[in-house]
Amino acid sequence: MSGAGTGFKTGGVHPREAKELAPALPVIEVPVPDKLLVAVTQHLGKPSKVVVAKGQDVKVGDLISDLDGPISSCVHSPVSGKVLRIFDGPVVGAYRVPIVEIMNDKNFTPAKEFVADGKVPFDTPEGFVEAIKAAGIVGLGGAAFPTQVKLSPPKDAKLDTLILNGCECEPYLTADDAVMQTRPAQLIAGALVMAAVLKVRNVLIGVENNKQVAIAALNKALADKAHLALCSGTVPEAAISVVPVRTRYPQGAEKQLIDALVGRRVGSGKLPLHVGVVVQNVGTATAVFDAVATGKPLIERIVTVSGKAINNPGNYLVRIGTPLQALVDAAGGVKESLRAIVAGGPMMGKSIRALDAPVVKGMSGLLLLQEEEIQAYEERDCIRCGRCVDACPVNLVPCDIAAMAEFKRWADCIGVMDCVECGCCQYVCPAHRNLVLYNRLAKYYQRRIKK
Amino acid sequence: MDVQAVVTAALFLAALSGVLAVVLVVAAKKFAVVENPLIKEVEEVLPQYNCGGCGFPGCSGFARFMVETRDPDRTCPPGGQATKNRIAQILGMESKGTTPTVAHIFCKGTDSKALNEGAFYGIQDCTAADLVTAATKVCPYGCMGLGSCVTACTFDAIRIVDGVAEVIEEKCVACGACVKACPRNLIAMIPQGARVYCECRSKDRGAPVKKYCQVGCITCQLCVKACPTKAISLKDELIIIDQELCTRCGACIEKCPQHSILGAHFELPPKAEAKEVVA
Repeated sequence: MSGAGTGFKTGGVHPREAKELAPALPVIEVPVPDKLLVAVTQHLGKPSKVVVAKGQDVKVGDLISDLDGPISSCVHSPVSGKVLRIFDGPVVGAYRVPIVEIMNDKNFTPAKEFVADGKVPFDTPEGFVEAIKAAGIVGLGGAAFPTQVKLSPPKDAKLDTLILNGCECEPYLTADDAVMQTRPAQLIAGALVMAAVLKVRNVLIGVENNKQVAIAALNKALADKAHLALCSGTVPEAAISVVPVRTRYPQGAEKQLIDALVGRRVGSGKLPLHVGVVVQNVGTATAVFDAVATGKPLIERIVTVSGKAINNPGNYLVRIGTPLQALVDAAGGVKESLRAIVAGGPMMGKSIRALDAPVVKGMSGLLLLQEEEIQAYEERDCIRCGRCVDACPVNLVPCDIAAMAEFKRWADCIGVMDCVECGCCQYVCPAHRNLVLYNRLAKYYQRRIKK
Repeated sequence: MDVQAVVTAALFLAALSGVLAVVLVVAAKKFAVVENPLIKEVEEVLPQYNCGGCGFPGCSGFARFMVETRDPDRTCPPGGQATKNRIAQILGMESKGTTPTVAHIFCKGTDSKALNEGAFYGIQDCTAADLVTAATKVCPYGCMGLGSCVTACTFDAIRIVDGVAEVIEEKCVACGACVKACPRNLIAMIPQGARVYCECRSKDRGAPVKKYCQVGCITCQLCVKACPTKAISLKDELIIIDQELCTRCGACIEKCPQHSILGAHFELPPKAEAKEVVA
């Protein structure tokens, strides 16, 4: 099953990695700014409810917004201070969402003592899920799906494997690499907790083989049994193995990683749990460990700040809610040559115009790119070469979908709902067609027609 | 030449056509679909634009619907009152009055007045740009000027002028296709004739609006206080002017510090003449 050649079978591309720009280590702590902009909803699912009011004093870890419904998550205050205002402001991917502005009093008074050097205590699976839910943990790989929902599969689901996703197949980004190198034992302990919750005995950590240092760090932690020292001995053992996978984009996509590691295909409209697998990001695993062992809610994360237009590219440990401007300032500021800002990785990230948005839980990277790194091409007509068909990891025909979408024949965009918007098709297109945007449009209209 | 073969063939074909003719006549009588002749009559008075403004895909669908339901509230927007009267006459019912409407775009933030930043290389379509929050107009509520409404309009009644869509009112037939096409809900059907509207749909507060638009509404509510007939109210962060209560005195147009309240199709009373009135 393992081996350096393991990878997904269909499609994919191998863009220039450019990961050397921002090496995984060191992870630099960003000074906490005076004012933080904490977005009320930072997950995929039902929006959270605000539970603070203007002028209220908050402490580190106090609830800012609470979950509403089963597929929801909560947000905690990253600092202690005063709520200045609640207003509608921009975040990456939305023009106006409710944001709580908090004045930082620089005391960092915690709401309750966090257990330093904590160990995973004895608890029932339900207790663990409750702790994860209360800590507001969401998938840190980018989609920000509430973790406790993934850890509460339906009763009839037959699960046998937990996969930790350390692929980080997006170019430029090294945030997950940093997590794996700095906290391998905590990561594995978090995985054990999730395995205990899901009652699975098999844990696979998939890491792309361009991250040998991280693979070595994880294997060393496994050999030293460092993770067992972090558990109080009551968490059930599981067979954990680190599996190097082929460096190929989108290896870190959920379905592609399952294909690579256990050789199962997740069908159209199906979830990983239908084939007995749950996939979690490596960053999520460490956040789970923190929540269970120390009681610390998810209030900070590692963000890769990279690109040729930033003075000190690297990995930064930053509080949720830090304005992007403060993050960029901590990274030495931008150069004159700045031409584009991308939140996330270059393949799937969102291009943004200004640095007025704050850091949210799902943000893995911030790229400040200059002229040679961005190329704006003129869109030409499709030459029917079929390269997009070869590149598509989910077996779609992007050129046909785009042709139908161009003439607003939304119902004829076959299979577009399976599109993961990975961008492989557009990356290889010699005519520089806006294939991903056509797919997004088709998905938008197909959803609208369904309503 | 075998004469008999020719005769046999001719006779056979004649007999066959006779039998088939009888079958067809019987079938036509037996399976005849009786269509109400009124439908055809109503269809003939409709404008045959097939614009979809009535809610049906084409004029024939609307004609059938009218004959079947005789709904006095339904109307053919491009046909207006005249068509409505004729349909009522054909169907023998009372004709209700309708207010003729016209499409209107609630944004005046042209490129010279509203801030544009960055560049958008994707599909030049408003919905596409809005999906990836990539429109170059900084105002998240304003007209992006990429022309989704222009494509949707089959009557060439919308054009982009200086980065903002504009309705050519003489050409507009009020089908409402543009209203559905606008991802930012900036287009609405408004009654024809004299009007006063706040031409901004921004829900932002004053400070951010001032940064990106010279004609954006800053919700200062001076107009609400200035209106002598209390026709202006603030609903959902938007200034709403009740056209029935409005007497077109021009007080709000004069007071508005951002010039976002504009009137059209009427003469202002003399004291407000200095202010611009869009013809």
